[in-house]
Amino acid sequence: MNRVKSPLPSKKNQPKRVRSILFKGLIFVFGLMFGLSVPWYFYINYITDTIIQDRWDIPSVVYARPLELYQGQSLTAKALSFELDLLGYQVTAGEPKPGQYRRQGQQYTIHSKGFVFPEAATQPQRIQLQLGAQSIQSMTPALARLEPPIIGRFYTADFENRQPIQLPQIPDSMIRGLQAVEDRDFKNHHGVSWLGILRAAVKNLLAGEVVQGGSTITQQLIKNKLHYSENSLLRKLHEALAATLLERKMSKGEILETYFNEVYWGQEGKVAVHGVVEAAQYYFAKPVARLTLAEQALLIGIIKGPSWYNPYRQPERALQRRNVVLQVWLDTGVINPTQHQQAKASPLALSNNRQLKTDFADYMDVVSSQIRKQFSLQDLKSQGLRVFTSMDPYVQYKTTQTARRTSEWLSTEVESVILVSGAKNGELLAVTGSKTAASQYNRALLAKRQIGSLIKPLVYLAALELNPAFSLESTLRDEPLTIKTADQQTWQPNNWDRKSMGEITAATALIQSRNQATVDLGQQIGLARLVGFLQQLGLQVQRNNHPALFLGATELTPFEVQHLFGLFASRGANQFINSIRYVTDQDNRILGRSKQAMNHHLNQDHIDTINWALHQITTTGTASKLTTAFQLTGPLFGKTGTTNQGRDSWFAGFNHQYLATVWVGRDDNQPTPYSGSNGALVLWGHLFKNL
Amino acid sequence: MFSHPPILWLRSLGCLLLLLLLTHCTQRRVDVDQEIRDPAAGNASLIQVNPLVPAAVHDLLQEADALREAGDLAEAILTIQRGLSIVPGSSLVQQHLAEAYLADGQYQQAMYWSTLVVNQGPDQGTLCERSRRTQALAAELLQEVAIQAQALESIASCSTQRPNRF
Repeated sequence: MNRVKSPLPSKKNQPKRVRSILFKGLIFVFGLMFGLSVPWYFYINYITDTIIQDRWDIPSVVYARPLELYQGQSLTAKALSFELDLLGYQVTAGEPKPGQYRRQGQQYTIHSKGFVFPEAATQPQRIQLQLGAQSIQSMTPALARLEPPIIGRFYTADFENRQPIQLPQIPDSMIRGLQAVEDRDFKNHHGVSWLGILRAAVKNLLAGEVVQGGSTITQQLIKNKLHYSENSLLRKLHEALAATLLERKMSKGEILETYFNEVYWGQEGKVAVHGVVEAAQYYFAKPVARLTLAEQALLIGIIKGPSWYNPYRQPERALQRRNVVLQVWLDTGVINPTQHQQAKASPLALSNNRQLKTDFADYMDVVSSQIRKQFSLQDLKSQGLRVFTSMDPYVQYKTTQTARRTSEWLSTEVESVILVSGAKNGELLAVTGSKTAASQYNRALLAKRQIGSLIKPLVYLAALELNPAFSLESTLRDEPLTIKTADQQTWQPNNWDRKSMGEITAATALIQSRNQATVDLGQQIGLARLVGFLQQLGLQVQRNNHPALFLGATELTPFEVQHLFGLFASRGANQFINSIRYVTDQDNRILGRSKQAMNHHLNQDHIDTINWALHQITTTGTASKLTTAFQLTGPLFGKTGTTNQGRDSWFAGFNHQYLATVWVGRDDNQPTPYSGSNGALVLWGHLFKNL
Repeated sequence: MFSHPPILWLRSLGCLLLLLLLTHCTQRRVDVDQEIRDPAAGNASLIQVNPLVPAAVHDLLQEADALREAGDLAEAILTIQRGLSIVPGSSLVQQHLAEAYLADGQYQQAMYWSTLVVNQGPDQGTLCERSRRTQALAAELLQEVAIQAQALESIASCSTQRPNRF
């Protein structure tokens, strides 16, 4: 009988095999750990390096124009109070300190905060002024300017809102207060507080859920940087290793400074508020150095849960949290009992400033598009530029308020756009791209719409420039006419009143916005020559073979229309509406400034002639409502525009100070009951009544 | 190679002169007082137009003049622009800006602002003459000969003399 070999190893060989398996297993585990931990270490190392590097990643700040104060300046008490509130100035009954003002009737005493302008630093100073009904009657000193309000920033790719501050600039109570609340062992640990973790673990075990974290300030900094959402063990390990590494690379002071510049303090729309400078500005509209103890305590308290303790939405909860922080500060000796009593008795005193920020979004779109032509986006994101614009916050406020009432004055079905610029210098003062804050669509820049009769001043200007024999006294035929177009169709233009006036002067044709007479003139000029003339003015008119172009059958954005009428308002001086005055780097060196250019060779007399007609339009023509119903005073100039069945209602007009373009219509391009005279003109009239 | 040293010497001299001429054109610093304001100050027109500006703006213009004289042209321009933001249509401030740009070697901007004063500013008196002199100088430096000639010609129109009495 043959012996069958057993497949099982003999008992003698078993320990050897086990040792072999164990050894291979050990090698495998070691290899696995090595393979995972080395990349993990390098990843953590990279993260900590990024934190150090990002300390210098600063967004660019965009400013509105500074308010100039001098005797004779046109300024109402309402406008001045608005500006002061926007800048975060607080009313006081006593002698004003920097950032405060006192009002006694029409007399203001303002203690400015000071600002470093590119040409000179303006020191904080006391300004005393007496207001009349519409202007400053007297003032000491003779000339002063307030700080320019911040209207926005160019953020990092994830739209974070940061502005760096150095540790010595932060109040000592806030630095010690942060440690007292968030990490009492901060000075002694090496990134991880094992005692703190143990304490938190016991509490969590007793509670049966995670109720307390044992994270140090260093760990929180890592967590903030890595944007973790879950609270897992792996995350804790990750944080612990990164925190230990970070403590080897940065001093305690640098970690604290980075923390204050990095930590998340809330949300403003789509923009996250990061850093103590932003938080102080967002919640109290003041610099960090001027935060009171109560305000400091609120900010430190909010860190625990910026959404849960949001003082705007949960004032009671935020107040309780602030008082808890104050109690901790008292217990740990950060503040004394007197300071505690005073701080605890203070109200939250939040700023209303933040609520105005949405008003600036449409203007920021213009700044963004114009600045990209001069600077690379990367520079704007990372180099901490200072962009000084011409935005007038009060005009912007009035413009926004006017647009908001579109539904009340016209209809809920239509949208509106309003742009305002300086009549003489072409500086953009305000933009509102929709009637509601909810709409993100900036029609001022993006909505290409037919301009209708707004083109007529340009047609008549072209005739003056191109036909030497033509003047506004020339005769035109306002009669039915039939034109054969390039595609062998017939086209018969009509007047808005379906009537014809016969032979009329060119002046009457322009003032009364007669279509048939304008087409008669257009045919004298020739379509190709008109297109060439418009293109010379920088108008992006596509080659159009249809004579309807004489009546404005071309699409422009409201912003492009503003450019066009800037030519008339400035008497030929400005062809372009600029939002940026100049840009500096962080050291106040000017990197670029807006430059004016006259790229046309228009005869100024011709522009003045058209302006005469534009003035007549506001007294006896299609916009006479401005001087009759609205009773606006001073010379006004402007032109109405309407497209088929009221799809677009336009008015572009100016006085000696402002040029404004208003568009009204539906986004779906459906008909509306509005012409230029009873639609856009209504908003324009209300705006100029209130400016 | 050295058979015609005088010709070589002459060529070298010619090149050097051309270089110096070009260098002069590109680096020429305009003395606003000597070349514009002082000659225009002699304008004896019967009609003098002095645009009104707020006292605060006058102070800014004086400050800008001091900065310009000290060679701080960038600051001078910013100071004048501040004045212009207060009175955007003022020919007086626009003229100051044109002169500051000229002194700073920004001839296109000097041309723009002086042309604005020529077109929209006073057509009589010192300011009238200053604007035309600025325009002429900017045009010269930009090699716009026709504009320079026209500007120089128009200087005479800035003066209205007292008619002879009989």
